[in-house]
Amino acid sequence: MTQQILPFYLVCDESASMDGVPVQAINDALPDLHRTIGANPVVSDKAHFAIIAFNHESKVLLPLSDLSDVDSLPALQASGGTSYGEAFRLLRETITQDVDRLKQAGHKVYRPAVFFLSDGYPGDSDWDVAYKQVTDLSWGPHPNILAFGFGQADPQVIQQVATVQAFMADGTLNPAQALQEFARSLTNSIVNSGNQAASSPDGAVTLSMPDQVPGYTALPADQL
Amino acid sequence: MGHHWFGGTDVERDALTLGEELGRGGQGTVHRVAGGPHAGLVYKHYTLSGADPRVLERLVMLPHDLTDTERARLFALSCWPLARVVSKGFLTGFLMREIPEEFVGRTRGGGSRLQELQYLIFQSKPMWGDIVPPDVHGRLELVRQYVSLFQLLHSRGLVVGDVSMSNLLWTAGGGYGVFMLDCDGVRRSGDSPVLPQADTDSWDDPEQPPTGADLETDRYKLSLLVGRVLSRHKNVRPGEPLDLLPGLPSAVVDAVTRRFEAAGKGYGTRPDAHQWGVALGGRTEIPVRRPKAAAPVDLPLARLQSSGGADRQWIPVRKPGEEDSPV
Repeated sequence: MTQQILPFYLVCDESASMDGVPVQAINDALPDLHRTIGANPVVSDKAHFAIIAFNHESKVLLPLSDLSDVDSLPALQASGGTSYGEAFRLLRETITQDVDRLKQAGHKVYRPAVFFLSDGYPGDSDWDVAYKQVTDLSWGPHPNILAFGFGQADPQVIQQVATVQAFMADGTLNPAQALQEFARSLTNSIVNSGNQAASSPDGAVTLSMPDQVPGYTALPADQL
Repeated sequence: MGHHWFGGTDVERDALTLGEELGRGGQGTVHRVAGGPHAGLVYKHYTLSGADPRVLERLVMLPHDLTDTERARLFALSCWPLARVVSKGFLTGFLMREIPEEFVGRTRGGGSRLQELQYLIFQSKPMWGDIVPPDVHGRLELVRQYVSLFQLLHSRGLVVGDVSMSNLLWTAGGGYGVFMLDCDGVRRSGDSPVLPQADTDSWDDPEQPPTGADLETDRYKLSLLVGRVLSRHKNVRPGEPLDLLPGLPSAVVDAVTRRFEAAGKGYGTRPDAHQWGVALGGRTEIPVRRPKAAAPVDLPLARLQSSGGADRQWIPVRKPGEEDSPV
């Protein structure tokens, strides 16, 4: 049966600096996200979800899935360095495969949304090479990227990563609370996008994005 | 009158002690009223500007025009707006009843969710926890109750507008029941709603006139509801083959299939809620021929008499009160 699918990718830093409270906060928030989305048939049918984790390497922790069919989620484990380039290389590869697979199955696929989260500075100086490939406008499925920074993340780099909106933790919340808010904004974005009331004449699905996130300062995306 | 009906009297926002936030949507937030004279009710606060206070007043006053039975049913089956809430003379929202507990289910992992229509349209999943859709006979009963709710509204010229998988609830535990949310989207036929309503994706009427939702677009959406719940197919539309779930009485299958097909024949020809009620009742329908229109009869014309007006004499008269003019 043909479906309309809006893919969401959580691209999450799990370098050594994320050890302790930050990784625990994300791991604690994932079951809530799963429960909220997986138990909502309309949303889970339309908004599929994947997790890509990165340190000096990157890996797909959860392939793009209908969360109502998922029984367990892989936990983040902090270690190693921070390579944004690795993250964006795998992101492009994964999106390409996912979009091809879904289209071959006869589904209509909408532009993917990426929630990127990092607490540090990229250790690879040439990360922008892979970044430019994933955001290349001539590449059909180039995603909309919302970037979230906290801890030692560089606001300018976070702005560079975002294509639609950047958020920088402003210190008004502790790291655990700030990451809970990040997860809540991700969940809300998925629920509202999947459950959106407005329908365009062709039934197009649009991404619902947060304007503001508690504990974060919204920064305009640094358009290329 | 229902004991919570305010008879059109507005409530001051300051008189409400708000408790827990129960929900948040594009138009506003919903809070439980925790204290004061209106404790136990629920307050919807508009965060979107432009809510029309006169339209909301008409909804609040509507129960006054209903019979006692109709009013009791409306209050039992919906979160009907009971009173406008105002602050410094401006509309801020309205009061309504809280959703009865039997329409709230517990999902796996301990969360709670409203038992929305969507759970009757998708294949059941373990994640839904204790939200277990009923068997086909239960589905039929729930659909009958939805149709009955539409009969009540439509008989009073009320248009639901945005019929969707999230604003209609059901329960099958301890008896079947249905319930309607977002009643401030209901409007009298020809009126605009309190706030502009968007159609829910995949629940739109492709032939909706530019003037907006009306009784006929509601009838199309009611056809979607009947067809989708009884086939458990999220996208099927009139005009497409309807693959009904096994186990329905054959008379219902025949009648529903025929009515669903008829709903695809275009604006102005959709089955109304009453016709759906008959179809779902499984009652045998006796085909009858409409009597032919009588052919015009060629009656003889009466002969015209000559008026003789040319020779007739005319008698001058005075209007009452007129007298001869003085010379």
